[in-house]
Amino acid sequence: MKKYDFGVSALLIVLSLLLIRSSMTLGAAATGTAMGSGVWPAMLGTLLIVLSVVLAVQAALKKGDDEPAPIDFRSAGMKRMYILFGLLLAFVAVLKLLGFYIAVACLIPAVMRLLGEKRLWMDAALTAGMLAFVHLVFVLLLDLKLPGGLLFG
Amino acid sequence: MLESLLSVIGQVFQPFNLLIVLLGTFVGIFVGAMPGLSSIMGLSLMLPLTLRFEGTTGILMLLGVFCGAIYGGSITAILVKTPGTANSAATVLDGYPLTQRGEAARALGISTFSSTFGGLFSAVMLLWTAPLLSKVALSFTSPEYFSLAIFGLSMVTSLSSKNVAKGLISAVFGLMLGTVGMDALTGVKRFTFGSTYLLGGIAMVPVLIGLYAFAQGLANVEAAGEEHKHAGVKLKHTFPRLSDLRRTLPTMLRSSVIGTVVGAIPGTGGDIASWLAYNEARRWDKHPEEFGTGRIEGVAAPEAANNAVSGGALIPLLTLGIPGDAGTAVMLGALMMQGIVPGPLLFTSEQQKVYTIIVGLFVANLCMGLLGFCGIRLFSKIGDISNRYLTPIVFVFCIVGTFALNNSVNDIFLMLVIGVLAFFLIKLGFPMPPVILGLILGDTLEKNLQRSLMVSKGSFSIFFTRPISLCLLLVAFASVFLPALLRLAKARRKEGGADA
Repeated sequence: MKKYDFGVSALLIVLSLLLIRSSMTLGAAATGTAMGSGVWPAMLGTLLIVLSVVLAVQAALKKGDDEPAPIDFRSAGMKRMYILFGLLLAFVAVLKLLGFYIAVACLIPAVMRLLGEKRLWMDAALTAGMLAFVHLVFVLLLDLKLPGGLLFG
Repeated sequence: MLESLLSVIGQVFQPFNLLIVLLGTFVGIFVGAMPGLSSIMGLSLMLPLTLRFEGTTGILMLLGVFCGAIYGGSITAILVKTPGTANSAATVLDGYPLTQRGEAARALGISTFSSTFGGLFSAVMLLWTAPLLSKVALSFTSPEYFSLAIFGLSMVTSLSSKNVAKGLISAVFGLMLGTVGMDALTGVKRFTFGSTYLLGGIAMVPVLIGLYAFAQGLANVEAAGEEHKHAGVKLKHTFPRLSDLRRTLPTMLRSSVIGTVVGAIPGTGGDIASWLAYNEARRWDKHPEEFGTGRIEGVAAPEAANNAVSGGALIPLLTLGIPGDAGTAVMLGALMMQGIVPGPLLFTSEQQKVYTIIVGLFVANLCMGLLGFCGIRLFSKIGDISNRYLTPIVFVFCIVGTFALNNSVNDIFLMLVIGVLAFFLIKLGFPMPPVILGLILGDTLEKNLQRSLMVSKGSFSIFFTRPISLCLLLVAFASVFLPALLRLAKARRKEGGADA
């Protein structure tokens, strides 16, 4: 856990510095008695630096590191997550191009397979059922126009 | 007041509204009973749907989800020793031993009755105390509101994480998200990176769904293979016996008071209330040694308390506009999106709406009891549904729910990004309630800071020279730093003892 806390602290300090720098261009100097637009974000950036330092100091003061690593990048669960992230990227692309129905029709069985479902009829039944439900409730009852994508939009 | 109340009762009891509350309660019980789903997830997913209803109907639905989810968690806690939500963790202690003894129906019956009792009790308390508190809050000005927002944020931050620094970082992250978009006072674009989508600021719903629903779905994918235990019990006569009711009535009453009071304190919640009530029930009992072996009072106490939190949590929300936890933060967001701004003025300007919420809470608790007694056999099967089917369904609801808010595909992308980020942040020990609270309270904090500094001509002393503001800041300071200081003092004492 220790090294993760150090890593997060370093990342947050860099982000905070960038935030403060950007805030300076937003009118950080108070105009009259009112606050400029950059004052509040700059205050938050400063606070984040202080808290990041506290987190790093806490990690440094911890005796030993007997806590297990919070993320095991090589575990079976994380490998499933990498596949899922890939699926989500593909989903975004299909959603943009072919719209909601086709994108969701691809996503549901893909996630089911990833979670260990092997029966094809179950994939098809849940996908069809979900799409029918969404169409009935959101499109017909609640009058929502779902994204059709670049090709069908 | 009585006239407004009677007209509201007539409105809430209209068949469509009752149906909506029943539907919301059903969804709430479902998400509450399903380990891996949470009440906040249910609220987040239902929020976009409720915005499509006219008037306060959507709020009534959310109240149903809110109450139902707290109760739903007890079902799996009693049947399979797996609390559906953290609120029902204490119920496991005596609920599961009762199931092992073949008395699952008795435990579920008392759980349903005490949950309904606690919820109704807190609704009455809300009706009684909220108008009084709102009169006090009418004297609040910008410095008090600023300090109040700091107080709410600090309480949630200090109580939602073991590591205060991480809790505070989460809160600051939420506040930072709130700075994106056009500054309403000066018209300056902040952190929009040239995107027109970000000009309007970061919407709450995509963030909320990303943090609570999508991130939980991702966690379910990571933990795939860990299937739930099956209940496999037959339930008969779920309505509690008169002797059980007589026996547990004092416990229910005491626990309902505890739940309402705890709920009214920002940052606390059903889990704290239920443990406190359980401990008090044991302390007051003639046979405390029997707790943990299947005492019916051990089920009644936490269940009455955690459901009483619902009314208690609405007290600071409606009177001060400060959400006490993530659940009430969703309610606050929903109210604001419906054009209702919670705060002391709400009780004078929109009394009808306030009473609709209070009566709605009352009806939601009645629906919860009704559904609980009638549908317990169905709900007891919920835990059997595999994550293989539930997770893709959650994903689809996340996507449709996010899109439904503004008909914007960009909202879906934002939700996905926030969800993935939240998945890793949760793994690293960063709590999520302060993020959403920071996003919601960011605007209140900044505006009231600006106004206060304008009044004081730039001097921060304005926050320390006004008694209420000073008190709130002191409590906020203590809630954040006192636990750390006490830990430090304890460690010093230990070291001192070891040296001696």
